[in-house]
Formats: sequence, structure tokens, C-alpha cells
Amino acid sequence: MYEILKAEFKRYRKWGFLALVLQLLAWAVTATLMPLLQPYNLTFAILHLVIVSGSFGFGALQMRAVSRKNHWTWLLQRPVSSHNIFHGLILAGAGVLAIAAPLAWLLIASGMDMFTAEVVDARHYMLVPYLMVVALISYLIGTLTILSASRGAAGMASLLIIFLMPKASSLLVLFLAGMIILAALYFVNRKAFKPDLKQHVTEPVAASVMAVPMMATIVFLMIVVGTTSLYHLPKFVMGTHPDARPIDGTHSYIWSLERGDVITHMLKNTNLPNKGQLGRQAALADFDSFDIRLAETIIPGQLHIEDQQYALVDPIAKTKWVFSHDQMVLVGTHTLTGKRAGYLGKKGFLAADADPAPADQFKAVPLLHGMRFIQTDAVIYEVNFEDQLLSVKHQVEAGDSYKTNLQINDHYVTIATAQKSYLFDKRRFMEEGEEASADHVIAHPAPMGSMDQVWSYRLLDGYILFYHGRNMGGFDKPAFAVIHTRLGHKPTVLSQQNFAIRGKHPAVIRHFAFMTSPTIYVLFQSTMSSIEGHTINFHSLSSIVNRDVPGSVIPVMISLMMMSGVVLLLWSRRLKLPKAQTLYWTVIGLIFSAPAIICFMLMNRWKNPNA
Amino acid sequence: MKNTNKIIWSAVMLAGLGTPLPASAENQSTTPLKNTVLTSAVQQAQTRPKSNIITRQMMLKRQYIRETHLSPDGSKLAFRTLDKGLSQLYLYDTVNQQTKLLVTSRDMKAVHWTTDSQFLLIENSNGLATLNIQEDQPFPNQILNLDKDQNEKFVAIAPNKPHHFFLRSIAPKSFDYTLYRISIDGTREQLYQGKHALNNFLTTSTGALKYTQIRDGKITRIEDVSGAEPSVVFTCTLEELCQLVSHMENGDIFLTGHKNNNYAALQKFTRADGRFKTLHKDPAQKFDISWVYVNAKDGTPYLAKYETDTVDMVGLTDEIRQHVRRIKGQIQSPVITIQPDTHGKKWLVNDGNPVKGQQTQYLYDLKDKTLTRPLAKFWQDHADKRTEIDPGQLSVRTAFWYKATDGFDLQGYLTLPNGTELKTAPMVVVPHGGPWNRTTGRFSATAQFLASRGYIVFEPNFRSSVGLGADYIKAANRDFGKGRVQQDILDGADYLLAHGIGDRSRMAIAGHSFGGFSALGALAFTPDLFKVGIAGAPPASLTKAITFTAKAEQSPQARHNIFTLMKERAVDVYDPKDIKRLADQSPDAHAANIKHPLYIWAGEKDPKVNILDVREYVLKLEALGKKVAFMSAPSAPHSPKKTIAKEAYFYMMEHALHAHIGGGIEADMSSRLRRYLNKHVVMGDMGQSNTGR
Repeated sequence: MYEILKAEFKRYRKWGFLALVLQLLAWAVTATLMPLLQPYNLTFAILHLVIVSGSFGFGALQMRAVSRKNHWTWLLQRPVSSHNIFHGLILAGAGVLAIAAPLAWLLIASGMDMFTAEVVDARHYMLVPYLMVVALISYLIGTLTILSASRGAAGMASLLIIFLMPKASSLLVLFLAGMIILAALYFVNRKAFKPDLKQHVTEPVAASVMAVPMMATIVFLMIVVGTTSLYHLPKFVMGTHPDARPIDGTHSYIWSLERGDVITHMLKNTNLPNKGQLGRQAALADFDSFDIRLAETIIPGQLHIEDQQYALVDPIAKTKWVFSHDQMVLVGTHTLTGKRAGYLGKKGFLAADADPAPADQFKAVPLLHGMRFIQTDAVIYEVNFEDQLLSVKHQVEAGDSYKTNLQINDHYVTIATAQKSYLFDKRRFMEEGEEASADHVIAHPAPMGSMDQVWSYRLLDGYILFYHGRNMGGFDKPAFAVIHTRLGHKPTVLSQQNFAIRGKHPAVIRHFAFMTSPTIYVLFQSTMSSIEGHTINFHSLSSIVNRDVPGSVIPVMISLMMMSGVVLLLWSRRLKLPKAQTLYWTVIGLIFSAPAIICFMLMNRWKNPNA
Repeated sequence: MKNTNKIIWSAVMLAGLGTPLPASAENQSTTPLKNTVLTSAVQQAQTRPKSNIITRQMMLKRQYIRETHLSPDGSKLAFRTLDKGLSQLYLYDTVNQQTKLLVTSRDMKAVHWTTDSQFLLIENSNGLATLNIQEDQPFPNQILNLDKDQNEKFVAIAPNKPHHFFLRSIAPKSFDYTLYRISIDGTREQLYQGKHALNNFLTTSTGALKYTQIRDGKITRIEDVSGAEPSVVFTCTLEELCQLVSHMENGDIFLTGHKNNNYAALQKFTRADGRFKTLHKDPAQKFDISWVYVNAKDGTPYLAKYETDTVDMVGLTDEIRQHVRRIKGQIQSPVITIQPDTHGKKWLVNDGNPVKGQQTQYLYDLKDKTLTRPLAKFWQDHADKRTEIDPGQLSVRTAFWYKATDGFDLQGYLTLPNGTELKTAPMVVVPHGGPWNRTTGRFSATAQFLASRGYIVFEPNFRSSVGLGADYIKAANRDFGKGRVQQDILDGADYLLAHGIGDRSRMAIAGHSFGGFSALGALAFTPDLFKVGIAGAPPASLTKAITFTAKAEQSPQARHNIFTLMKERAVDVYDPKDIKRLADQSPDAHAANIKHPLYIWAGEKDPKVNILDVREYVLKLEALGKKVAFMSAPSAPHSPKKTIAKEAYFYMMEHALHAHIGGGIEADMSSRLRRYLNKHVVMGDMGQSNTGR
């Protein structure tokens, strides 16, 4: 095994080192444009793209090379078990990947840690194992694509999505998920590594480990292909697509209206005596909007590529203040000299030679806004760099907490807590050193998390606010609320109701994924929400179960499941598969519905070899 | 008073004060004070106990009620308060004597009643909103957004049509001026369109445009536009400053102006014979008429206002005179203004007595002849919003007349610190801005602020000041900078010093805009006299300021009008020789002579004085090695607007004076103010650096 490993490593190490050098060069160029530790989505997107495609390509290339007919025969005839041959190849590949993918960042992070005053936390080093896991997952999908007899092995890419897409609740969860994915890929690769590469995997466990991720990818492709070819394209051709001809009564219809006309439209069915006046006021008002979706949680120690913020900057003293997840304070650095400028904790500024005490540390990672605001769960602080002062700008009432980011608009500054939205006069909020008092405090018309956006219409003495969200009236029940808030008066709800039509597309299109394969949908959503530790972006099993799914979806869903089971039963029998496999695929069809049919096609021969 | 002044002046001349006075205090000779007005003021001030300092916060807290408007039918009183950027509009019902809050807003600029007393029109940053008072409308109704591309601007309430108002626009390319009458339901009716802007206009009882007032270069044309083609009724020159007031059914016109009069008077132009008849002018022959109230039914004037040494309301009929006399008898105040309703039922009387910190409003019932205080209850409920300035602490302020060195009679105001030996007290000369403006006899916050710190405050109405006759303006003879106008200011200061008011060794000058120009000039032209100068938004060159202001006008016609007026009054911006004349006598040209420190404030968004010109001047001073401190306020226009910016301005003034001529100072400085100063004092020191970073 070691001979194979060594020989294989030697074969590819040049390429590994070349990739390392190229990556270092790319980082060097990036460093001339921006601080390397500053999160920048495009940089990380390119990094991911290169590592994923490179590792996948390398895995496929490596296995393609060894699986050439003569080479394969020579390889398997060696006096080594196929188990060891497999491990020799895979470990050599992993060694090359270790050089090519994460090593560059390890050199950069440690270099910056040792030779600069940049804030380098443990989380910056954790990018090294993260990149290694990404590379390995991609690599193993690449190897499986060649080793597996299935034409759909690349469909295991859904596993990579599961690792990359959710924001894990902790690094432990992230790497645990990574390890499970790697173990699954290792397992199916190992099963695929057999003398006859054209033979499909038949063991139920191995088949399931391959089939489930593959079906997730199939569902995704079915959504794209199925809805486009069966719905969107014909509708567009006929000129009846809702995007081209918005349907009055749907949530999306509001986007087709002039912003100023929305309030008139929303109030037209109410009995308000002054609805006409209110509508005209909105039409003449200054329009603006703010986001009322739950802000993304910042997890202490999260990978810095997940950051949405970098630093507060004091342009006069030429210092930048970066939050250290290790020390839980902001660390100031002179941008010109690179020297430490001090620390900024929740009690204020500390000298450069001070050691931040626990009392100085923030309990959670705060959000940084607008050059001088620090937002924690319960307090918005204002930083005065000139006088080295930290003052409270605003704080929530006891028992409440901020749920959105502080948003600075043209005329107002806003933030929402679990219970209320606060609107501050912008001019007064931006007055330095003054504690801010909200001009308008509006209780949420629906639970936080169900609303998406608020459109505001600035009046002489307040605002008309239009809250709306796709799930504001419950799951898949878009709703809205129109609230009139005036200075010195309690806000009045002018109208609150669900949109008359639940969606611009038919329910079977809106819930295509769920309808096509409820099991895959539930597995995917619950896995993702488990990794994230909340249900903001993905849905837990219980929330899916408690949904009020439109009536038309369920019969189609059950029919598809039944039909898939029958089709697979008949097809298995026609292919004269053994009874166990016939039963297996019939059950898979019943459980996973339509994608199971495609999966069956990808994991089996299409014709009976004995026929 | 004039005669008394002449006597004093003769005495001054005899004492040899026609020539420059010696600079040192020791050599200073004084003449016994014979000016009875000043004598009385000096006696009052010296017998009073010393005042406490009026804090900067007190200054900022002034004027909680920003505007009061009696409804045309006299049944309601609308008033607007302003506190921390929050405006509140209240309505007082004169019948049931209840006050209620109508609207709270951060965006109320001004409020107007419609002629039928049914609506309040609220000007805001976007346009205009209304409140229907009769129907108890629950919230304001924005009726119109002004089209900024068309330079739309609210003009006035339309007098002859209920709930209508006038709006003007200036087309961005053609510069066509259009006047619209707009109903509160948004209906727009074009009344006029032309190349010339309307300076004023009058409508008929049916609302049709009758007379227009158009300035065209040196000439102001009054045209009758009721016919198919406009016809010129009469013209006025620049000096005559004609202003249409009203017209009668037969077409006769009431106007104010200097036509055939040195002092602006109320005149009637009879169309039948084309003659002007003076109906009323200042009997004392000192001041111009400043406002006329007319009968809404027939256009006849019945009440006039004069900005005299104080303020004088004059009835133009026997009945009105009796009412005015009764009011003056009951309210013992030198500054009473009257805002009548149009139905002849009630008057809103405002007591702006300068010895009180706060104005007091009265309602006068013309039938019962009684005065009531409509806002007494409101003030009880909002006692915390009243200014904390104790009227007993305010300083004595008086107008006085003096002769300039060329014999011209000049007027000015003197505010004296309480309980202070005036002979050794420091003096601050505060020339007003403009220069075509004036200091009035109303409450002067700046003067009180300075006097409470122990300074004698002299506010001269130098030649070119308005409201004191056409000759007063004309006599400036375009002699700004090192010339006649500056000499008027110095003559006033010398007059006071010669009479034992002020210490010649502790003199300062502080002014804003043109007053700042005078301050720069004072330090450059009389470098030994003033120990410090404080200049807010000062143009170092008048020509540059005039050109800069004119450039802000989009219309070539408007620019032409400005340049024509300026040619008459200051400088011909098209004549290099004339520009050089003014430049040679500007403070800019004499900056090298400055000996004492200058404190300069400028707004970075100043539409009148280019911030770049101020910076250039400040840098020039620095290069010359002069002591200069410079505060540059971001986003501030011609004057500071934000509360903190205003406080910083007051602080700059008191710090500079305290440091160089030794008056009082409010030592405490909020960290916010210190931060503001640290940030915006871009050159020199204003006393904040010892506590800053």
C-alpha cells in the first residue's frame, strides 16, 4: 500500500506544489487590493470554485488514469488487497490535495499571526481543515464518478452542498457534518472500488448511501427542468406567465405597481373612511424600505469567510478596529504602522498594553455598522474614536432583543426587536454622543421571522408602513399589514390580511420539491436546519409536519409516491432483479417518489442482461 | 433727541474728537455725557446688580413658540413650537379658550391660514400639506410636492379665493417664470408666464391678476395685466423701492416706497390723474414704513408698522388709532406688534419687549376692547419650555443717535452690562450683516449674551442700513471696506468711548456676513483699536461675494437685476476699474496690517459666501503669520443651523472675547461641544485643545 501511495504521490506532487505556488501568488495579488482577512464574497467564491472543481477534476483524473484497462489489470494483480490499493491511491490523492488546497492559507495565516499586528484568531486557522474537507469531498465525488458504474455518481454533489450551504451552529457541527459526508463518500468509493467497475452496487446500505444524495440532486434538477419545461416555458410562450401578467390578489402583484400606488391598492377593500386620503398621502410621500427578516446569527469562532463585516475605521487616527473572536473585544490596529492601537470592549477603550478582562468582553459577537455603531443583542453602542468614548445609543426593553441589523436609511434609522420595530429620526440618531429615542415604536403585526420587508411612506407627521412577507400569514400564506404611525400617537393598524391568492404560481409548482419527493425534501431541510441550529433558512421536521400545505399538493404527492413504487416494482421485475432488490427499489420508490425512478435508472442496467 | 445729539456732537468736536483718538486708555479724554437717552441707560445699568451669565444653553432654548397665526376670521389661533427638531402645531380656540395639539412633525417649515379660516397650510421639505380645521381632520394631508426641477416655490395664500394659494416655478432652461394659483384639491390655474419674475402682484376681488410688479434692471414696472395686453401703470427707480400694497375697485393703487419721499411712506396712486399722494409717513421723519395692513374688502389701508428705534404700530383711521392707543396703554412695551384678522374682530398682539426674555401674546377683541392672554394656560402646562433667562437679569438696551465725522446723523443700539463700571468695561462692536439690513430695537439675543458677560455692546446702523430713509442707504456712496461705511462704525465707537462708555484698550469687533467683513476690515484698517475680531461667514471681498450670490440665481434676468442693483450700491462687477477700487479698499488687500487675533467661522454649504474664498483668506492670514482660528462647519449654510453648531458659534465668540479683552465666560463645556470643536476648528485654537485628544 505504501509503495502505491508513494508512487502515486510522486506522480502528482508537482501539480500539488504548482497549485500551492499559484494560490500563494493569487493571495499576494489579493493582498495588494484589500486586507487578506477582510471577508469578501467574490474572493471566497473563486477560492471555493477553484478548490471544488480542481479536487473533483483531480479525483476523476486520478481514477481515470488507474482504471485504464491495462493499468487496472496490472494494479489489481499486485500482491496487495484491493482494500490497500484503494487506500494507497486515496491517501496519495489526499496528500496532494493537502499541498494544493489548504497549505497556502496555513502559511498565510501563520505568517500574519507571527509577523503582523493583524487580528488572527483560531478561527482563521480553522479555514485550513475546512478547505481540506471541501477538497476531499470534491475529490471523492470525482473518484466515485469514475469508479462507480452509475452514470449519476456526480449526483453525490448534493453532499457538498450540505457541507457548504448551511451556516453551521458551531465549527464542531460543521466538521462533524463534514466527517459524516466524508465517511459516506469513502464508504461508497470503497464499495465501488472492485475489479468489475461496470457492476452496480447492490448492497442495500451502500445503494442507499449513494441513492439518497443522488435523489436530492435529481429533485433539484427536476425542479429546474420540470417546472421550466412543463410550466414556465409554455406559459411564457402563451403569454400567460404571471411574471409577464401579474395577477391581482397575489403578493407579487405589488411589485408591478408604482410604489406610491401600493397603499391605495391595499386599502381598497377596507371600510376606512379616509382610505382615499391615505392612499394619496402615500403617493406623494418619500418611499423607502427596510428589511425585517431575522438577521444572520454570528457564531463565536465562525470561519471568517462567513463574516459579513470586517472592522470599524477611525479615518482621523488611521486605525481599524477588528473584532477578535478569541478575545471577544475589538482590537485596534494602526493602518499605517501596523502597530496595536488598543482594545475596545463593552466598557470602553483599553490601552494597547492592557489585557482585556472578562468584564470588558462582549458576550456575543456584535455587529458593526456605519463606521461607529456596535450592535449587540440588547444595546447599540456609539463609538467616539476621538475622545475614546463608548456610549449607549439605544437599548431594548428588558426581555426583548434586537433581531435585525441596524439600518440607516435616507430619513430614518431603524431596527427591529423580537417584539417591535423602532424608527429613529436619522438626523438626531446621527448626532454624536446623544442617546437616541425612537420617534416611532411599532409592535410587529406578525411574528418575527414571518415578515420579509417593510415599505415606508414618509408623511408630514409620521409614516405609513406596509409590512409584507411570503409566510406572514402562516406557511405559504403571504400577507400584509398597513400601519399608520404618527409622532405622538399610538400606531394604528389600517389593514391586516392575507393576500387573496396564495401564490402567483399554482401550488404544485410552488411546492414542486415537496410534491415530487416529500422524503428528500424533509431529509434535506431537516439536515440543513439541524446543522444551522435554527429554522430561519431551512425547515425542521416538526415545522414541515405542522404546515398547512395547499390541498391540491397532497393527492398529487401521494399519487406520485404510489406510482413510483409501482413503476419500480414492474421495472425491477422486468429486469428480473433478485427479489430483495425488487423489494428494495419498490420501497425506495414508495418512500422517495419520482426521483427514485430516475435514481433506479442511474443505478441499474436498463435492460436485463439475460434477456 | 436729535437736538440733544447735536449738542453732544458739538461738545465732542470741541474736545478734538473729530480726529482719531489716542489709543491708550490713560490718554483717553472723555466728555460728560449729555445724551439723555444714554445717560438714563448708563444710570439704569450702573444701579442694577451685576447679572449672572446667560448660558449658551439658555440662548439655544429661546423661542419655544416659533410662529403664531390668527385665523382670518379671528376665531382660532394657530401656533407652532420647536424643540429639539420637533415641531408641534397647536390650535387655540378663541371661543372656548381650549388649546389642542394638531400635529407633531420634524418637517414643518411654516404655517399659513387659508382665507376662509378652514385650512392650515403647512410648508414642508417636500411641498405643502393642509389640515382641515373645520372638519377636525385627524392628520395632515399632503396636497402637493414641489417640483424641484421646475424650481417650484410657495409664494403666498391667495387673498380673494378661499383655500387657494400661489405657487411659482422657473423653467430650468428657458427661465420662464410662471405663477399658478392652486386650490387645496390640487387644481392648478396659470395666472402669469413671462421672462421676468414677479416681485409682487395684486389680484381683483374675483381672483384675476390685476397688477404685477416687475423689476427690469434699474426700473421697477407696475403693470396692469387685466386687459388683453399688459400696460405700464407707472415705474419706480431702484432707490424708490416701490412695493404694491393693495388696490381699490376703481384701480387706484396703494403702495409703499420712497417715491418723492426720503422716508418710505404709504402712498396712493390715482389712476385717473396719474398722481401719487402720500397718505402716511413717519411723523418724526426718521424711519421708513415697514408694513401696511389693508381692509380685505376694499383694499384700504388701516394699520401701519414702523421699525423705529423700537417698533411702532400706527392706526390709519380714527377708530384704529383708538384701538392701538388702548393696547399701548394696557401693554407697557416699546415693542408691540399687531397681527389683525381680516374680519375686524380680533387682533393678535405680540409684546416683544426687549427687556423680557420671552414674547407674550395677547388677543385684542375689537368689539369688547379687551386684551386676553390666549397662551397663559399653555405656558403653565409647558413651564419647562420657557426660557430660563430671568428678565431681571437682562441688560439695558437703548437706541441712540450720533453724528459721524462728516456730520451725518447715524443711529445705533447700545446694550450695557448691569452693575459694571462702564468706563473700564470692555466693548464689543457688532455691525449687522447685509449691509442692506439693519439692527432693530427688538430683543437681541447676541447683545444680551455678551452684556451678561460684562461687555458693552454697540450695534451701529451704519450708512447703507435700511429702514432709515433712502438717503441713509445712498449716503454709503458705494464706499465699503476702508471707506465711509467702516468709518461710521468707528465713529459710533469713538462717540461712546469719548463719553466714558467703554475702555479703549479693551475693544473687540464681532459680526456675521457683512458684519464679518466689517470685523476683518476693522482689524486690518484700525489694527491698534480692536484687540480681537470675530467674523462669521465673512466675505473678504465684496465683489466675490456678490458674484457668488448672483451665480446661485439661475435666471440671467435675476442675475442682471442683482448686478444692476449692486452697480448702484456697491460695485460694477463688469468694470475692472470699479472692481479694483473696491478690492483696493477691501480687508483682503490690507490683511498684512492685522495685528490682533481673528476668529473666523464659515459654513461649508454657504450659498452667499463661498467657503473656498474664506479658506483662501484664512490661509493667507496664516501665511502672513497672523493669529487666526478657523471653525469650518460642515453642512452649515450662511449661519449655523444645528444646535451644537450654534452653541459652538456662541462659544467661539465668548472664548475669543474672554481671552483677549477679558469678559466673563461660561467655563463648563460639554464633551459634545468639545468634540465638535475638536473636529471643526480646523485652524488655531479655541480653548478646546487642552481637553481634546
